Amino acid sequence: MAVTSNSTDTTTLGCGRDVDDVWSHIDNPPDAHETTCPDCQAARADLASLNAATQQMVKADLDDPTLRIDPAVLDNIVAIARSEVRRGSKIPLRQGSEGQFEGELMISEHSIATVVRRVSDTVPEVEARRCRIRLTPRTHRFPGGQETEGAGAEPGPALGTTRPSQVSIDLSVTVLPHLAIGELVDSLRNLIILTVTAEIGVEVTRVDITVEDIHDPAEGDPGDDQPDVNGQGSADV
Amino acid sequence: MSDATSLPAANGAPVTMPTLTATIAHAVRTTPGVVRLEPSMKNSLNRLIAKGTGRVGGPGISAAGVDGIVVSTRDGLTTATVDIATDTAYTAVNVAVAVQHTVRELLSSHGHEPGPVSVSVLSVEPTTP
Repeated sequence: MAVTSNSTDTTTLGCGRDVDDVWSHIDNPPDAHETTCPDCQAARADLASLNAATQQMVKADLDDPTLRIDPAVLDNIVAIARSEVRRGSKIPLRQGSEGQFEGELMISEHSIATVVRRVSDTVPEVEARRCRIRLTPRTHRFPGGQETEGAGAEPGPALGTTRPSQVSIDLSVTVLPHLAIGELVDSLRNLIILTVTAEIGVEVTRVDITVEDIHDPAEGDPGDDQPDVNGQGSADV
Repeated sequence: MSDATSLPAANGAPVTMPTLTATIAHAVRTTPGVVRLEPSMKNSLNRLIAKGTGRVGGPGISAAGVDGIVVSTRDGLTTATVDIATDTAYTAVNVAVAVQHTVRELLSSHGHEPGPVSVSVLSVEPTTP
């Protein structure tokens, strides 16, 4: 095909038409100019070969089983993606002047919420509904009296050291009728703090328990028809 | 995944990334309190890419992965990300610290300069009824 060798315009044919224009309608019959122009006819002949080769390669790729993703692999990835959504975001297991060089230690919010739910399940008078875990920013007080993060004050950790992360927990529950709700909630709160501290190793700074309803023991799980609502930066599980 | 990503070891024998990763996976699985390695989306996609391209990571990066673990080397530092499920009989943070320590020790013993080793606990579950 006769193509000009101009360094700034290397795709122009001898007749002045751009080879890309010819390529753009290579699947169609030649237009009036192309039926009489030898440059365009030569270009069309070359491009037709290229077009045929391209189509053949595309078809070969489509027919090549080694280029297909195994459906089982796709199913696996979808299952993992669903798990990741369910796990919620991750929070650090330790806070402070951590040695970032050593790498992060994280836990999914879902893991902590699962522990909270399991604790709730051990109290027969309670049915857990939603559980939300939040990381509480630690407050450090430096020698000059300046504070960083949060409202409280505590001495900051030495450089290179870490402390267990602090988390707060929001749990909504329903309870059986005719109970002393205050005592029940206090008991549940203490149990949650003890268990989360023992099994996860974070400090629980606050457990807010909201009694949303009274449920009849004869009824099923009151949370069955309660859709979980995921808040930003937290996990409802 | 290509075995061509051989790396120098302290005692002279070359260690391929897949071998190193498999060694780390075994050590993590046998760490007290670890129930299993947990596959993650990032990990699975890395493995899928590796299946197609024969390698994990971009230019200048040697990497390998199994479910729950990705190990990569760049600029002389070897980093690892590990995703695990832990047993409620053990405190999760202690298990994560132990895993991090184990992986760093393994990297050093195989002649690697350990970079950040990140450990994520994705599930906490009782293993005994």
